[in-house]
Amino acid sequence: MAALAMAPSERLTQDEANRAEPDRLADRLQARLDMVLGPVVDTIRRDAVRRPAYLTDTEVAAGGE
Amino acid sequence: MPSVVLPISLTRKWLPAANSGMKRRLLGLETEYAFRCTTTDGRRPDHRSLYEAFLRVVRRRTLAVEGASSLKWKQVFTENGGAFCYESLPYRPDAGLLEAATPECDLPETAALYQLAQDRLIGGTVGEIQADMQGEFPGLSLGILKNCRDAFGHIYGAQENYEAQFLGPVGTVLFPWFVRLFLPAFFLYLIQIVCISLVVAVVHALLLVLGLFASAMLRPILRPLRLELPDSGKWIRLFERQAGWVLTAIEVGFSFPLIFPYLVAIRLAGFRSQRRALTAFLVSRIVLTGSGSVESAETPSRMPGGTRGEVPGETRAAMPARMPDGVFHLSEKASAMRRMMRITNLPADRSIFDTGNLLKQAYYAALGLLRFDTTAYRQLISPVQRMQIGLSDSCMASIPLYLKTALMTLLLDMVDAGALEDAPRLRHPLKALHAFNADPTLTATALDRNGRTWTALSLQRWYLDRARAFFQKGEAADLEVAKALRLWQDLLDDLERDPLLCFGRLDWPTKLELIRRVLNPHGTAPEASTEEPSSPRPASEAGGGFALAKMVDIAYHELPDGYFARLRREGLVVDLFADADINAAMTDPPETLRGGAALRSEIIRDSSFFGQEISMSWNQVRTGQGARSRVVSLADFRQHRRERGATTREKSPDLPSQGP
Repeated sequence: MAALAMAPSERLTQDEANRAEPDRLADRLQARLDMVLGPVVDTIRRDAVRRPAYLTDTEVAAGGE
Repeated sequence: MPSVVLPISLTRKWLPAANSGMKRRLLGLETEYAFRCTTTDGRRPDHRSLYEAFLRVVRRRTLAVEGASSLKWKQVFTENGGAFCYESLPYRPDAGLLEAATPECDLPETAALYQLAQDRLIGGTVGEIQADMQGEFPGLSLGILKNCRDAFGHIYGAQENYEAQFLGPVGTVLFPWFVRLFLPAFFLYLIQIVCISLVVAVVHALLLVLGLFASAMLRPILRPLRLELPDSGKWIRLFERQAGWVLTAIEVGFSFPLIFPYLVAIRLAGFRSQRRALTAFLVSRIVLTGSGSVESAETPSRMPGGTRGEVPGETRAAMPARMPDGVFHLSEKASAMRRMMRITNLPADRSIFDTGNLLKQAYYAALGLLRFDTTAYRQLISPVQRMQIGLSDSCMASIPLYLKTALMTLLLDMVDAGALEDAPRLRHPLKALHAFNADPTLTATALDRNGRTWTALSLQRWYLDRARAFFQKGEAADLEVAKALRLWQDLLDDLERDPLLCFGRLDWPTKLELIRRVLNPHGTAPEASTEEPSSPRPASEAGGGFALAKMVDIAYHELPDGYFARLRREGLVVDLFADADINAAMTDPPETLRGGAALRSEIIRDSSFFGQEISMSWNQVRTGQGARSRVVSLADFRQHRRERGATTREKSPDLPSQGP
């Protein structure tokens, strides 16, 4: 399912990318991301409901550098 | 996925690197990590107790020795040569950060590897910390954030350190005299601060005792009236913070007449050639190394201490990625940059080239002279110093992490060779930085002093072309350099075509795409939309679109199980380093030609030999405590071992080093 786990023949290599039309390339990439990112995005949206106080939990004082 | 499979593998090949064309300059990375925690009853542990729990877990996993620095609270050095400490502001000692430093390395890929090892070590402690503290804090849920900006706009995070030529020919003559004039003043200032601190501490302690006594007396009187006083813990924290504010105000007030001219002198004399040659590179490299940041746009005051309305200075044709009530910036830290070079010791005085380390070095020199120890003084007037880069994000992906150090190292070599003397000099570098930062379309422009217009990508290409020419001339002929240049070029090509093509390789395009999809799972491009996300809308429960986007922004950086880690598990990000190498780097020191990491590691591993308690700094080991303690410099110790024929993992004679 993951892009990197695809067979080499299915990968869009750098050379292919260089030859591809920019629009077509973006479309192909969007389609690929639609496929692989869906479950991650669903999980994140569920997290947002489950952890409404997440942002306030992350408050820290600026520690200086 | 286009070009995600890199034509390079960095695993272990770099270690001997005997034919390296890069100079073996010392470099190291410092990172501040924030604690995120919730509990079932709402009580949150003091960050100091979280840090102490962290140290306990670290000591179970790796050998560690106490740090000897008087300026670092509970610093420890670990057997891989790195260090941890707790960093906080005086007026918020309970809300500090975990600061970690990689061991000093002498190759960029080594520094990146040790940063990843450090992240893994830290992330691996979270489960045990939670378990250890469950009794006191039921339901404790902890995460450690490797980022640079919390939800309230507080800035912290990453810094890079490079050994670099500090002074030019004139500065080499004049600066030591300037330091000699100033050191007595520093010394008097330190005595003054110590005396004032003691007075403030005593006064506050008296007030605290009086307050506690009064509250104990008043409590029985108020109870029938159903009035409650804060508990003693709150009193103590309140006094602690007030004392911190007073001390900070005194320190800043008293030190300003001393520190300001000192830092101005450094600004006039220090790192001039690097600043001249590399400023345009640094302000534009955020297109590669930025981690991405969701910042409040129209209503920055909504979040306490928010972004304070950074206004892009020379933005032209730039269209920020808008999201409900917020904008997306390329870098977490760029909008917080106020200066090219620090001129005060205020935390908010953030600069691209930071000189806070040279200020600390002056303190150490003054303290050392009090003990008739001139080591720190000699380091302070050395023409070679540690150059700190404050404009540096906490990268989650290994490619920008590697590129940060690799490109800087290469370009610093070129500066030393005089190969960047005609580098573009921007008319307003900070305005250019803020403009580039606010423009994920990468079309924002800035003018140089000759009136030429540049985008961030065109600036990067100028440096790439110069580096390639330098490389082809053979002055830096090295396989690893060739790979870094190829990686640099591929990424610039893809960014130019469509930043989305860098998904999984660079942090900001990855984070931006994730946020876009979370805000609108049906795929509407957010640049064209300032509307609220379509239903279903968890954003409403989380506090709106901005809050949801900010949650993704922050949770992306959480260790050990944030959204970046989730993408990695799904195989959606590119790793440059093998897991086995990262695991080994958690305990083994780097094999370097210079620097003290290997020697410190050996001392830590054999600390029982000393028969008494030892502590250490980056350059020294202290045995025993109090008046009977003995301090040995690592350089002297190394020389002693060499004379006795002992071997270490170090490969050749080296020089005294200064750690990150």
